[in-house]
Amino acid sequence: MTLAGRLPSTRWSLVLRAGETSGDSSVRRVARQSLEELCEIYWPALYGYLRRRGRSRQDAEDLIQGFFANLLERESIAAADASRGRFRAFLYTSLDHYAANEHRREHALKRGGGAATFSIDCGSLDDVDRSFSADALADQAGDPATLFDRQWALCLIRQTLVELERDYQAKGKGEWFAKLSPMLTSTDADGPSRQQIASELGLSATALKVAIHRLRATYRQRLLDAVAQTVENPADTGRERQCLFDALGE
Amino acid sequence: MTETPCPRCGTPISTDSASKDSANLVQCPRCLLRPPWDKPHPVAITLGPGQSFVPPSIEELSEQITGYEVEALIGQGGMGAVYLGRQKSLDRAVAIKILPPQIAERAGFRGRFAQEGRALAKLNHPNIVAVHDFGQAGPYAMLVMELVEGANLREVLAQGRLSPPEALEIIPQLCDALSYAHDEGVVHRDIKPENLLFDSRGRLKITDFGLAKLVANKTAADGEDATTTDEDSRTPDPTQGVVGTVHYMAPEQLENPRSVDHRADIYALGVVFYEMLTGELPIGRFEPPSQFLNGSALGQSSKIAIDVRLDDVVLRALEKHPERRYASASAVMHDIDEIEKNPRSAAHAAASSGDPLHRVQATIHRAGNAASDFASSSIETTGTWVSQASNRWLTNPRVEVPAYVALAIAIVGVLGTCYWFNQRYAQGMTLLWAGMGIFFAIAFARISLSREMESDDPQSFLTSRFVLGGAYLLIATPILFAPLIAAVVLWCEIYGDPRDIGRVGWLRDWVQVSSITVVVTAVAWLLLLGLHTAFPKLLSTVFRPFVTAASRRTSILLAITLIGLTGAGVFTAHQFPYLSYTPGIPVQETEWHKLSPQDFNEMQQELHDRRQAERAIEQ
Repeated sequence: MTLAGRLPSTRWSLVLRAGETSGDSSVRRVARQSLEELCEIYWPALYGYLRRRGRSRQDAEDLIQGFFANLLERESIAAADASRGRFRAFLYTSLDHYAANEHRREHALKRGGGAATFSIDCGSLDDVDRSFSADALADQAGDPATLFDRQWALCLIRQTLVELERDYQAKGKGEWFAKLSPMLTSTDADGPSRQQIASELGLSATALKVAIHRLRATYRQRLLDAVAQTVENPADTGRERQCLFDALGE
Repeated sequence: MTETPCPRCGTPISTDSASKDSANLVQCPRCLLRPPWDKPHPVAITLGPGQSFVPPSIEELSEQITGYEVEALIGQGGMGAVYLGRQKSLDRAVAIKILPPQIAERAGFRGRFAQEGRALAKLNHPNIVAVHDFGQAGPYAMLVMELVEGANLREVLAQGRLSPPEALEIIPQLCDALSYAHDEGVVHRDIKPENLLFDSRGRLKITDFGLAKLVANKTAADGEDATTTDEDSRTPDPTQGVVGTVHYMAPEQLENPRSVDHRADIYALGVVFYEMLTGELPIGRFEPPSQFLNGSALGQSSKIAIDVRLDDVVLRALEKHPERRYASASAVMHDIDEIEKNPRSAAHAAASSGDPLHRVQATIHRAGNAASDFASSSIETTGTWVSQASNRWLTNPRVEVPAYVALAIAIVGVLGTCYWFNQRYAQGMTLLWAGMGIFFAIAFARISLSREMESDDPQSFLTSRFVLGGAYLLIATPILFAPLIAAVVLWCEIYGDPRDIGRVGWLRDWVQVSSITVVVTAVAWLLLLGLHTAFPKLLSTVFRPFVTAASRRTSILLAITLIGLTGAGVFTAHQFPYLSYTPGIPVQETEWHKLSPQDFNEMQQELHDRRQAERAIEQ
């Protein structure tokens, strides 16, 4: 999972390559698994997007389940798809396309039900619902593409933070993460907050700076890795991140 | 949904979105996606042959190395690349540093590498990254080192300049490690923030010790070859054989890389220290750290003031000429210790920076501190002396028995004197006890002393000295202060008691009395000094073992002081002379204050008598 100049195979590139080299079943399996993992990570972005577009909870859930089932059932991602370079752009166009033909949803659900069903458990749906307060859900006025990108960016960040927190907790440093995470966006060098954190964690001023650096460096690496997983060519990671950054700013 | 703008980028953040989920989303997502700290920071690149080196992939390197698993590339610099690895035998994480093939393939490199590697592996210090192993990995020379999971100083500095206390926590560790390595004969040659690592506890770990020399060696040797083959064509390239990092290299390291010694590390230490305190490099005409922080650019943070004494340390480490620099890292450490031991209020330090008067005060303050240090260390020595003495309990009875007898006599003498002193009409007994006590105590203590000097044991015994010291003080104090008392008493006898403050002429009295006293005492002491200089054995025999023959310089200095005091006394007495008074001749009222107390009283008496006589006549 490193990006040190070489070309690691990202999840999305695996998915795309499997479509091109048809035949080998083990490659297929890996690709399928990669796609499932990606869907697992980013379905809240799609859900949030649909809700903001005015869909009801039930409606959005059904739509996503059908959409992913359909996606996972596909033999390959069409090589001609112009948006296939980025998983995000690909999902956006595909979802729009899928939602436009709502009757196909019925059809897909009927066909599904087997291994291809994408399931969303109720608990995580509640979690996602909680992060959008009901009155602000519908945002019909906004540009759909930007809405989608914004949800995507939030999902990416949350996912990265959750994983990072899990890592710290696994190392028995859950408290460190809780105390240090504000430093991911804070830049004040010697505020009183720092002294407080240092004393709470029992660290010297230098040790605190080391800890903050470690957290930032790990976070940055994870974020870039996560972005890289969604592009075909890892060299595009920077551009993809910039794209999401711009979407959040508007 | 309540939305508050992000304080940094202004993007609205939905604050209630994270009500239960987690605290993470309270932070601005835009800042999280592209954090404000996530920007390229300048990195000091080591000049060296490894610039164009493309590190091998993990798979490529794994094939070359046995005994270690290569897990990830974690860094690259002018002298090679560093990988995260795992030593299979011990199952421990290590850092694997490889040097570029263009270095490893040079003739004679292997031999030198083996030799240097052994020297580096011997460095065993808590603040130096340990070298576990070294060898060849295919075309690469490889060093296996302790893995430090933390941050380097560059990364720490990226979070802002260090406060003086933080810097003062780091610098001693750096000095200690450097001084250790220098004692072991290893010079780092490339001290810079990138090579100063901190572990998770904030402890300093210096890495890449001696590598610069290893890498530079051959290049320097190339230069040598060139000059031997063709004496006239000296290599014009000034960077020939230079390995180091430009801004951290001592001037002599750039000019003549072969003559570099440990003082080059001291220079780099100075640069690092300056950078820690100010966040900038000391380039060109730079300001000393305290001035820098007081400067207008950082006015808002002026509460962080730097002790001016640190300026001296930094500037001395940064001296262009190595001979004017600190001679050793431990000397730097010593000065820093001094500063830490005697912290001054930072504000005071800042205020005193330019003012010569304050500088003088600071010097006096320092002298006082030095004196108190001396006192405390002498108390310490006395303590160890005492403990040694008690350990040697009667190891030499010939010396110690008379000493303890002397001590006992002294104690009895003191108690007896105190007893008789409190009785009425027992002055004779008091004097007798005191005199006898002193006499016998001195006698026994002297016996002990002379036996001690005869014996081969060079250690001096405390008890006899203690008794002698006390007794001598009892004798010497009256001798020293007798002239003082005598002068005052004599003056009062001649001129009468000095008048109380505020009465007519009181100031003249006090000036007279004190200057006469000073003159008499100084002259008496001068005589004593002359006696001691003329017959040096006299006093040193009487007061053995404390008085030694005075050195010429001390006695001259002392004599000058005493002569000066005498002169000053005479002068002031002369400035305020008494008016001579002959009874019968009336004195103007304005001149009264010039009379001595005795004459004044006489004059008053006469005046009084005369008035009474006049009154009697009138009646």
